Amino acid sequence: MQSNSASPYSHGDSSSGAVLVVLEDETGAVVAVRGQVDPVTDIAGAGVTTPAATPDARRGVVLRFPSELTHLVSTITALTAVPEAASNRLGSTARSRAAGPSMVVTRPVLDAALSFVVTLAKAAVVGADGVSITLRRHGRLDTVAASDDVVVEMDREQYDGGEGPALDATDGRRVHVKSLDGETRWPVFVPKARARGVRTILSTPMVTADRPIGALNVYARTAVSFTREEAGWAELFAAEAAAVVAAAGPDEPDEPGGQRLREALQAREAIAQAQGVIMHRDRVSAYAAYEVLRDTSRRTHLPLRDVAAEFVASTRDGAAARVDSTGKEGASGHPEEIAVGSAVRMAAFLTDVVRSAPPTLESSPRQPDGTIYLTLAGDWTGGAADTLRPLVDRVRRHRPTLVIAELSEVGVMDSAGVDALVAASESLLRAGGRLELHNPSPPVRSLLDSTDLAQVVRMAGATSARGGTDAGPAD
Amino acid sequence: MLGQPTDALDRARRDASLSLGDLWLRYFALGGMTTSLDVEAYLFGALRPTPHDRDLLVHALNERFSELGRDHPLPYSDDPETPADEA
Repeated sequence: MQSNSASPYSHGDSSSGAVLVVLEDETGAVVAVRGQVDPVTDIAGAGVTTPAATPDARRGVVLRFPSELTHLVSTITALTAVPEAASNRLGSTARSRAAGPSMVVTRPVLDAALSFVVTLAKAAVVGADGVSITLRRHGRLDTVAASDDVVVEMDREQYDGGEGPALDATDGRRVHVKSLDGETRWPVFVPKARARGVRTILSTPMVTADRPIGALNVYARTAVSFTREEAGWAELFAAEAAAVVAAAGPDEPDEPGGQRLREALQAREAIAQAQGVIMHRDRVSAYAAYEVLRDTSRRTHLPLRDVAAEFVASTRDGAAARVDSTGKEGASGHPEEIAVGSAVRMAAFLTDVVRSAPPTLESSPRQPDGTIYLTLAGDWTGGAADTLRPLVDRVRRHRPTLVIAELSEVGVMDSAGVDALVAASESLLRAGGRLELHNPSPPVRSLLDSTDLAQVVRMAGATSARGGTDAGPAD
Repeated sequence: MLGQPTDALDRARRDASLSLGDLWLRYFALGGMTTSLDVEAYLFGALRPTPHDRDLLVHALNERFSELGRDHPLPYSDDPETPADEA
């Protein structure tokens, strides 16, 4: 475990923020939304804290998975692979893997990426009280990321005792201990786990190239077995963690000149930053953001890296300075500083992406044709979504024949938001009116499309993220 | 299904006078995540790249062609007018 093991999770830190994990399929359509309120301090272990200075503010992080994780990982990976010539100037931690291949990985940054996966997994797997990642390094098992100290201890007991579910999982077998009561497989480990209050364990192998390299361990204090769905989420994150490790592993290009590789890394950073800006601006997937840049490159005949740098520079003053700071000529920064700095910026970007905005709504007077217009804005998530109900009740009293809800200013919506719209629709139908939804952003639209709401409510003004056209009217 | 056979990529690579290492580095600079061995396997048809990885390779080649004053000749996976050289 790294020195940042003093995790905020175990101390019930009051500076809580929501972590919402939005699961997307390969088309960028929202498949599921998961989340729980959790402190998100020291995100990715990169020394970044969410701006929790104002305790009353709802702050949080919404992570689009896997696209944003892939985005983060690609940035980190690009910047953790440092040519050996440059690595000679690095500190001893960075040099630790320099033997042999011509590339080294700065381990703190790799571990930061894995901590990030742990944060996501804990937020997403319902019932998880702690999550850790076990990795085989130099022939030894080690906990490289963990949500809290208890989890670190749980893992260590297994390595020391030579038995336990995490060890079995690193051999490639998934282990689900529904309850440690009556468990006989690990006589040394089980009493120690129970003494620490752990009742349920789910250890999922991390596999790269058909070879198990570690395990993602989920611990729970209550003896509630994880459902098949939760096990599926754990598997997703185990696969993602394995991909992180594989991507950051030593890799030997054909005779890379140090300078060329440095330029390649700088290009990647510029592209990743521009992608991030576009993802934020247009609320699209990393892939869609890449296409925007690529099409510009094709149209202008400028290299993608120049398009990206230009784009970032023209978008944000701060970002422009950052691009410059990586230098075009020679090494203007310590490679490791660049790497860590990039992870820090990425984490800052993610915390910045969706700082939850409170939901607001306005309603128009009843029009002569019987229509009432509602304008929804902000984030319609969790309990905040309930604020829709009283307004709909009020609107209903005016007996509208049609209520048009303008959604273009809605930032984020989760299942609670959808539920609120369903309730509104039903309530209006009972009163002889009907609801129409106009101009949802693509992510909101794809969420709505994935629910039954699309069957009963007419939507207009935005095409489905799945490529369909407007859903037909219900009647 | 795959648009073009990956074989076309290797033809283009040789046409553009890029070594495998050159192409990999350019692909990597564009954000490519797979190793040079994987890329080699894509070019020789031993592995099938994802559409995104293939597009990154296509773009790396197109930028090279652009440097050589030859526009962007290779189509991307979402180009509607992909020249159909197979049914």
